[in-house]
Formats: sequence, structure tokens, C-alpha cells
Amino acid sequence: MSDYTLTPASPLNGFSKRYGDTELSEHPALDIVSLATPNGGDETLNALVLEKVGAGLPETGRISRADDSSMFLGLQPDQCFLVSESQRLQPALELKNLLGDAAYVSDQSDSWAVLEIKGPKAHAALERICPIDISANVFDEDSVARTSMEHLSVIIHRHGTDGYRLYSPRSSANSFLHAVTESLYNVSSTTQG
Amino acid sequence: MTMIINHPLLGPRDAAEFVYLGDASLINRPDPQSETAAEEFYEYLHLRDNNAGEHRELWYHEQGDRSWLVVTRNTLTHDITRVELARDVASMRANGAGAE
Repeated sequence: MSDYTLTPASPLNGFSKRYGDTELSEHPALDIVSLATPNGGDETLNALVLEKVGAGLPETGRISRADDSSMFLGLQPDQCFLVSESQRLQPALELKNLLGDAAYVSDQSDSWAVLEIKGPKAHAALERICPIDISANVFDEDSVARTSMEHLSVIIHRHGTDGYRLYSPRSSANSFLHAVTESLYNVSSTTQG
Repeated sequence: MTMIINHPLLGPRDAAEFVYLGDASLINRPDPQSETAAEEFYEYLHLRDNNAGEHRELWYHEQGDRSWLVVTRNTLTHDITRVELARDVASMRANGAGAE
């Protein structure tokens, strides 16, 4: 039998483009697992997650970090995402084995397109399409928000000192990419900030 | 016109992120086992006050943290004076603190 090696296709085909010193690129593969708390199980789950993963569950709108490559995004009361660079084969199953019945988990890795925007025009490009204030003084490195841009649902948090990470539902990711590239093009083609 | 809703967990958010449901009394679903259930459900479904002034209503933060809010809004001025999590309002009511 032939030994096939299959490479998964990312939602945006590995998009990457520079606009001056600002770069917009797709993150090809993040592990994204959703964790939901069973009714009344907040404290049990929090203690277990702290013990097994190394970080407590975040408040809504905040990020807690387990290590350099894994973090919890506090998206809503009783639900968060565990996002990791580790590229496990079955991230949700591994988490389920750690947490048992203390959480409901589901693998969301293939449901999202992840964009990273980085550089001097990143903030200017996003503030034109993002309804919330993402300035550094109110939206710090441990802030995360689910909001909408160009009528499309998006999760946003800071990534590095002059960058952001954007999670867009896979099915509409190309339209979202269009919105971001258009805005970045617009702010890049002017001579002033 | 744009409105800002000051979310209790997330701070100010544009009203475009929310979906409007209606009167906050919808939280108070009648007991279907009650002897007068038919009458109570008739009132629950169909009878609403149409206030000119302060109004408590349910908003859903669909493009956000997916929470239900009870927003107190003045229907004449659109002034928003209070925003609460619906789960808090409901549990206060369950504990007998008497939401309306």
C-alpha cells in the first residue's frame, strides 16, 4: 500500500501579503478547543484546569496563559476557547481525557480562519472596521473580544506589540479577508497615518 | 441613530452588536402546572404595556459574549439608565428578591 502524506488545506490558502511595513498573513494551523462549563460547575472546572493545564479560566473578555504557546480566551460567561500552537492530532480528545466530565469540549480548529496583522498600520486598518476601541490603553495584551466587522463575526486579541490576531468563521473567511485587505490598502495608500 | 449599551461585563458596545427581543417580563414564564395556566400564558404571550418613558427590555449580545441583558431604556429619549445580566435578574427573582 502506498504511503500517502496528506497536508490539510488552510481556509485562506496560506494568504500572506505585505503593505509597506505592515504584514497580513494567515496562521496556517492553530489548535482551537471550546470549553463550556456545566451548570454550577465553575469552581470544580477552574480548579481542575489550573491543575492540569496550568492556568485558571479567564474572566469574560480576558486571556489567561498556560505557557508561551497556549492560552484561554474568555469569550462569554461559562465558555472559553483554549488556543494552542501545539498541533496535536486530537486536541479536544486530549483535553477531554484531562478534564473528564468537568467540561464540555469540542474541537473548533477547522472552523476558524486565523489572520495575523502586524506592523505600523495594523491599528489604523482595524480601527476603521472594528466597532470597539482596540487602542493599547484600553485593549491590552490580555484583552479579547468577540465583535463584528463589516457585519461579520470576529474574535480579536492583541498579538505582539504592534499586531492583532483575528479569528473569522471559516465559511465567511474570504469575505472577511476582503474587508481587512481593503481597509489595510486604504490606510497604506495615504501618506499620513 | 446609534446607541451604545454599557455591557456589565464588557463595557460600552455598539447597539448593532445586539438583537432586541422585547419586554423583560418575558423572563417571568408562568408555571405550566398552575390551575390558571391558560389565562397566565395568554397574558404572558399577548399583553404588554406600551410605556412612554422607562422600559425594561431584553437584548441579546449576539455579536459578542452571547449574554442576555435587561436594559432599562427611556422610550422617549433612548436614554439607557441601567444594564443588568438577565441571568442575575432571573436568579434574584428565583431567590425571592422580586424582579417585576
